[in-house]
Amino acid sequence: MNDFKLNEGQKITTGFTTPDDYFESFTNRLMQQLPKQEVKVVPLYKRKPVWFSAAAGFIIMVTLSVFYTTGTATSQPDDAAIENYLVYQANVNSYDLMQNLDQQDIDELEESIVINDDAIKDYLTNEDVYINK
Amino acid sequence: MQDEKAFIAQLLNPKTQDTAFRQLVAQYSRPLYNHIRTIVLDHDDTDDVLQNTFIKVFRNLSGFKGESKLFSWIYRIATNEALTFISLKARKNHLSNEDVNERALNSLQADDYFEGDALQLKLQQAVASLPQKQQLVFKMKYFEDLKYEDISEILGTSVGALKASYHYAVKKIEDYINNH
Repeated sequence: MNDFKLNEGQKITTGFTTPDDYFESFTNRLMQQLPKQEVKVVPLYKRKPVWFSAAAGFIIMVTLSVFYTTGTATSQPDDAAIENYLVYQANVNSYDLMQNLDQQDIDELEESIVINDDAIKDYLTNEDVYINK
Repeated sequence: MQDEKAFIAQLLNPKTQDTAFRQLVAQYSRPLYNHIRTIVLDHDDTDDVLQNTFIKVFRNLSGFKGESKLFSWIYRIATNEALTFISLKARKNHLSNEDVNERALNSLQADDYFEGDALQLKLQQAVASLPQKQQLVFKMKYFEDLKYEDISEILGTSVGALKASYHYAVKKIEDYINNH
């Protein structure tokens, strides 16, 4: 085995197999897990007279004023708690983050990250980056 | 491209969504399974990641802007899901990603769904010794037979860099197998 060449001779496969009928049952299992379609929302103004909206608005205003005057405080999670949640619990990956960041967020992130030249050099040395001419 | 647009429209239309999504799963589940399995190695883990991938595809379809092919978009999600899975597993167990990979590799021989011989196992070990990006390129080219152009769109790396990466990977794997 001293002159093994990968591209000579028969291709080596992965050797991975799956349970019988795995793919057939996979589709059914998956379809059951998909989020159900959202119920179609019928706009309120088409069905209810205008006074209904006015009444709803009034109730909201009263509720809000009561809420603010009584000074009810809800506890807010701190940054560390949110970060821990995102890292350990949430099914969120870099792709999701990319989808939800806009240019302003990226600018703010860039400003807040301090990287020195040594750190960049270490990263490039360890990460096998190829510069393509 | 027109066909793909029509297919995406079917996926988004509540009336045709169910049938169209089944069609999508039927078309992609096998190649995506193989893609994910080469990254996470264990069958049950692959099953989890594959489900998450399709659920994420389903949820994000309305935001798919058609800037890339549906194929590469789905593969990109699958790759990210698989890599995130390994990172999460590593963090939960206070290990490095490489340690998680090594553990998965060590349990391959006992895996009911691995029927590889000694050379196949050695090839997996050789691949695992490469840096992560080279591993991905090698697996996608050698095991999955994907075109460089497609891999380029999935990984966001130029074709030239991919070819160089594959070349290095093959050399290192041959050295590994010759010396172990």
